Amino acid sequence: MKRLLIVDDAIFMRKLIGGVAAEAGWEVVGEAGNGVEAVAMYHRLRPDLVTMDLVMPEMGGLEALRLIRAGDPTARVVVVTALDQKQVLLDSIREGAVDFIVKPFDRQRVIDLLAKLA
Amino acid sequence: MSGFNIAELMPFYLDETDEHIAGLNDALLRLEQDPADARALQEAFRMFHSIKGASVVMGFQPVNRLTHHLESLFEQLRSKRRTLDRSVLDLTFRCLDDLRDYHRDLRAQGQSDVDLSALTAEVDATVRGETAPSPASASASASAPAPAPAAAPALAKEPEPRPPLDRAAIDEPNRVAVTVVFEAGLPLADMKARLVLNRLSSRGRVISTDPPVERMDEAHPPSRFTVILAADADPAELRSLADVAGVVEIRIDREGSGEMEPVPESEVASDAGPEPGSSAPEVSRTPPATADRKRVRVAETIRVDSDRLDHLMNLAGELVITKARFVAIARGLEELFRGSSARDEPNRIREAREQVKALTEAIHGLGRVSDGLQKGVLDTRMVPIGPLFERFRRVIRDLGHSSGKEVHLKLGGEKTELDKRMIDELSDPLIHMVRNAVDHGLELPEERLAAGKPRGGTVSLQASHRGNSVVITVGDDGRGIDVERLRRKVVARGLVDADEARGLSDRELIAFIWHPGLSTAETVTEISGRGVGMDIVKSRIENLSGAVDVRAVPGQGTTFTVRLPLTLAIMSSLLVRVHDEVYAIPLDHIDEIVETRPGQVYRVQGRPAIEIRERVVALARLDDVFRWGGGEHPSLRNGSRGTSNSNGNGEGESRRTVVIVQNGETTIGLVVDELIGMQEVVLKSLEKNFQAIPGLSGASILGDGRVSLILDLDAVIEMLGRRTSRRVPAESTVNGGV
Repeated sequence: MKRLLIVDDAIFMRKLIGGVAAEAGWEVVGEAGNGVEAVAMYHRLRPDLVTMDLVMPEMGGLEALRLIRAGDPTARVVVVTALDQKQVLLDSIREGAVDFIVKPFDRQRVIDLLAKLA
Repeated sequence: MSGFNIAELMPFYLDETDEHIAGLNDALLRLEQDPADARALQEAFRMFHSIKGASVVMGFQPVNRLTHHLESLFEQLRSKRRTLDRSVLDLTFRCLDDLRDYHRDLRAQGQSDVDLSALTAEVDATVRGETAPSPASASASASAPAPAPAAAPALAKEPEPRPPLDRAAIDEPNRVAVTVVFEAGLPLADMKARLVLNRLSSRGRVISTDPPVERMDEAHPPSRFTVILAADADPAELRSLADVAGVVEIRIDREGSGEMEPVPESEVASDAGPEPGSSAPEVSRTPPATADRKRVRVAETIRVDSDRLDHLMNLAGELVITKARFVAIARGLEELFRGSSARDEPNRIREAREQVKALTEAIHGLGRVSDGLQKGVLDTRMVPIGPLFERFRRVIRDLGHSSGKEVHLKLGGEKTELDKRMIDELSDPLIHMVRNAVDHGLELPEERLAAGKPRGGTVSLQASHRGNSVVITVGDDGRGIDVERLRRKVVARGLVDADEARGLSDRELIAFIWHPGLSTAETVTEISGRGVGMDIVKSRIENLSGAVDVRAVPGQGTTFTVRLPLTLAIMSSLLVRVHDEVYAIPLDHIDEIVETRPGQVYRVQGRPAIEIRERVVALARLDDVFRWGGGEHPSLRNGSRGTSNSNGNGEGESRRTVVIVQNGETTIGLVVDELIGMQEVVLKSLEKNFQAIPGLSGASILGDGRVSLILDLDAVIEMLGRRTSRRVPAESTVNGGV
């Protein structure tokens, strides 16, 4: 079973993504509420994939993505973005995000994405 | 694929949104003090963003639209393209109020009638009012309406898409064209194209793209995208790089070979997705589960420290161990008494004695575990009052603005914990008391200065534990209560006639503020339009088994004191016997227990009383309050007086046990027949199981299965007070022993 780390400051979003991930056959190994936690948890858990919210307190998703990939260039991070965060999304694509999920998201799309990345 | 229901997320959504709204209020208050507080701006932006994101998933479009515009507004503030002025601040505060109301309805009835459209339009107009005339700001905006044109060149500088397709192809020997076809209606397809481009660029040099990167934006989302690159990578690797979510078909075309590799993995995209050109961010892709959600009250959730749950887990573990001990003892006893064993009688008795000892220990252990479990479970319901208090910063701000008074808020005891349900129910009564303090208690700045007080008034909210109760006070340092004005008003409203009013003491008059006929008309203000009268405050608090009291000192201020049981479910009580029944008296009302000798009982105003440490305390029996089937207690009617006292007032031949009880105001001595002991009683509603009886707050089942009635001492004391005010003049003030 592939292991997933969910990063989002909203518990609500984490539950939502966690539910969809479980449906897609992923094991959620951790949840982080900000970038700092995310980086620490990534290095501890070494998940197969990270879903990364971009706007978070303390440390945003882009910075966390950078730090995670600096520590592990093979890290696979899917960015979770709103329609109007194109600049940050673009930056994260350049930082090596493997894909992105657009909020509000279509569950089937997320399942397809997770299936592709499994 | 099923089994995941979005409605299950509702409690999380509501809780988090509430938290965000509270946080936003806090951030705005800080911004009001310091409009340049970058941290507060950032927090506000982030919280609007979070609400926006969550609301669209849940299908609450009005919330989504409003927060979308608010987010844009705060983006402007954050990027210093707008300064935070009073009008923006007030507008945002109004938005927060309506958002709060919207979600409150949602929580209560699963849907909301609060109309957010007018505010949405207003915020939108504010946002536009700034962006439209200023061309310089448009390009810098990262918010929704602007497609961030600066973004494209930033990425395009690496792949360099300048040369047109055909010409670039000429001198590249190992050119590969990778074409991806996007799912119809894929959001941000232009960004997906950039993602594909970026992923492919890791395996080769990008020569060109079709359409060119700089021509793609939300208004022209590509349905397919071709990258031509110089690469030696094998087709399978290229395909996996191009295979991002939302791509339904990939073709890899080695230039010269003309071979096309369609990817059969998923269904070919049917076009004609709904409004392919539309990029309106408000369109939800997740249809709300309306059918499920209609008029469903949302389950209450509570956040519990994991420490507390760990503690419960430990106790549950101990419970299992204790159970094992009982099983072992039972087995031992069974063996001991099975048939005629080889053991001789003395041995058998010795072993049995040991088993009994073990049993006693096990029972002792069980008691410890069950007490711990009970407390632990109750603790999970306990939350600090701080967040509720914090909300008053906003209330005070609004009240100060609307009343023209300068008001400071002082908080104390924010860490005091009480039952979650009580915190929820306390909000409205506290708001009303605070509003009352500002509107009626505090004076205008000039008046205060003239009275030698500081210009700004202070309203304080304090919470503390007192025994088994929580005491919350709402105080102000204003003018106090104008008793004469109250007296005139009481007469004007026809509550008492003029003669009677003249005879009323200050305390008796002040008690009228709880009267429905007086309070509502007096205290409705424009602050929220949802004012509750002081009578409602009282009844709400009484519904929580609490009591509220007011004290005023002319010129110095007014203090409301709310006393609540720590939890609604369990209370420590003294069990007493009166006639043949067991009554429970809540411990927090008890001052002390005394024994009186006949000679110590006096008559004051015709009523028996005793003196305790130079204080005269009136004596009463429950017979003064209750009627059994409309008369005396059956044991008295039958003439069998038993241990009860003949005149029912604790005077007489023998010693009497008197429980001294108080409600914070009045102290009385309750004469009982026998003290039984202290016990934690589990409160069961009389109203639900039988019918409400004034003077009783509920019933409880005792260890031996009998029912005990729990006295509502606030009511009992009040009922006794009414009795004494119906005094007979001729009998009054007869002092001396009886």
